[in-house]
Amino acid sequence: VRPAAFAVALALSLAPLALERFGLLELAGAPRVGLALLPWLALAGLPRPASRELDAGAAWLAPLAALPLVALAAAVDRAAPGPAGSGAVWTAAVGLALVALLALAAARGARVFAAAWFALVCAPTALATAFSLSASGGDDALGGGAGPAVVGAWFGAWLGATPLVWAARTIAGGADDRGLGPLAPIGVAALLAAIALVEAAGARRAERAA
Amino acid sequence: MSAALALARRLPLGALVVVGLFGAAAHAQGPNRLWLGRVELEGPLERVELDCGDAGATAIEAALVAGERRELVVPLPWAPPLGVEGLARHAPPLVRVAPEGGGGRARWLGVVAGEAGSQPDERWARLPVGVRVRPRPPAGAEATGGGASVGALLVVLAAQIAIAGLVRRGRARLAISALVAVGGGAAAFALAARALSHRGAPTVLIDADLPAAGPPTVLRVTAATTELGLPRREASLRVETRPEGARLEFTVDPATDRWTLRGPGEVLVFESAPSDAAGAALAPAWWRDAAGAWSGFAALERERPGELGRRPAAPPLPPGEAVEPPGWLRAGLPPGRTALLGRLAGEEAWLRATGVPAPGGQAPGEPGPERD
Repeated sequence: VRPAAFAVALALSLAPLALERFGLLELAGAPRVGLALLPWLALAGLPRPASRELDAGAAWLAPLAALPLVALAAAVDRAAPGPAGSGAVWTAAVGLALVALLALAAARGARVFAAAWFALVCAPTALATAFSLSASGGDDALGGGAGPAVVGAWFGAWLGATPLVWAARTIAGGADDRGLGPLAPIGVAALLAAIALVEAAGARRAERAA
Repeated sequence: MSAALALARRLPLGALVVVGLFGAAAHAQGPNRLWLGRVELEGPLERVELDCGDAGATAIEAALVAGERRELVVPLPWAPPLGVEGLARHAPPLVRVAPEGGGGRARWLGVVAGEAGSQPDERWARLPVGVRVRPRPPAGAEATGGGASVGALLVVLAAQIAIAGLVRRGRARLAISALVAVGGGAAAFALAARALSHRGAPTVLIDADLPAAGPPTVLRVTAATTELGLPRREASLRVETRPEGARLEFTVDPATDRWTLRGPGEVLVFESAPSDAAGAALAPAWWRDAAGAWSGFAALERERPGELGRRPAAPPLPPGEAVEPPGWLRAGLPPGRTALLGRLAGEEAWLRATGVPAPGGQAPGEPGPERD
């Protein structure tokens, strides 16, 4: 994780709460937990150059740095009325687990993980954004537009299982109303972690054999 | 594949975050959730429920003895997609009575219709568009600056910087950074939870617009997460929920003729208010002239209580001493028009008035200078 990427994730995750504090942004019913998680989810899973040994610092940086901010966002959401308030701590816990799984996978994985990350995280997020914007005329970015009704059930499930889309949907207030809820992104993150671990084990075996 | 990976690494995920952020901030104001219908009750009855499906329900706490008959006008939390136009074809509520099988009856008579303005939404639609689309006040403590406290934000920032410095320096430092993360998170959570424990209390806003010609529009907007009453039913114009489309529960007490409402999130009630609803004094207050320049005041006292026709004269605070008005209060003010904002002294209410003439200026409705 490069310092610049870390700084950008830190600024983007802190900005909504800071702007709201100083009256420059009205978040109304939007869950702050989702806003705080999104940059860390993006940063944690970002494929990195393959290294021989596990960089524990790189693996733990995103989850540890996300924890205080996500806890603060959960406290603010918890005080808010409505469904965002009642599920804030649960959403925060699921989100941090996703960040940790993605960070572990990114620290262990190499080329195969990078391809899987592109197929299961990056591409669906970009497609969900495109469908959401086209379905809503641009008013509802990453919100409810990219659902099965628009793109077909299996395609919608693929898009909705992506951790980034899950976090974005918590912002739109509909994360737990569709499909498998947080189970799907946890499954995707666990699959990515498994791919990365298998890939790392294969690389070690190849190295020993050589 | 390498091209795809390069593309994946370069995708502007930060841009996605920003797009998502502003998509969430631009929340809609939603449909009116206050519609009137008629029911006929015949005792013995203890309670009648009008089930409106996903929209919510209206409970009538009717203590009627055997043979007693009443006809009531009741609120319904519908959100008809076509508004007043589609109201006549709206599915009726499902009527349930208690005790069941006790001989009491309740009959749905239909929506209130006939005279123009018989539904609150018809009266709401007559208000100027500029007033109807103004930003809504938030419930509770957000009215004085929303979200996390500055202290909690600083704790988070300090923890994150410390973690970034510690995490790469060996396993021992990694354990320390984990402790910093957990401790920082717990401290920020506790600070925010303590500061926000009083959130959700009603926020009252007197929202006024004084056009250059014609009568002023004055609304009383109440936002709360607690139970709200509709004490002035005939003045009630609109009910909104946050999140939009949330289930809403009305309760009607025919004995006291009292209506109350409650939702899972924030509920906003819009009522028309008399033009003298603006209180006797504002403390603090803020004035924006037509050119967009702001002045802050410790207090502004009117000669006549509630008078909105002209800004009271008073020297503004020096720029260094004046505090900013709350973001939600100054957001969405129409450009090129004067604005008077403030907190009503001695009341838990705020004022947002546009088109208010400056001291010495011509008040709306006053005759202009005579010309030869």
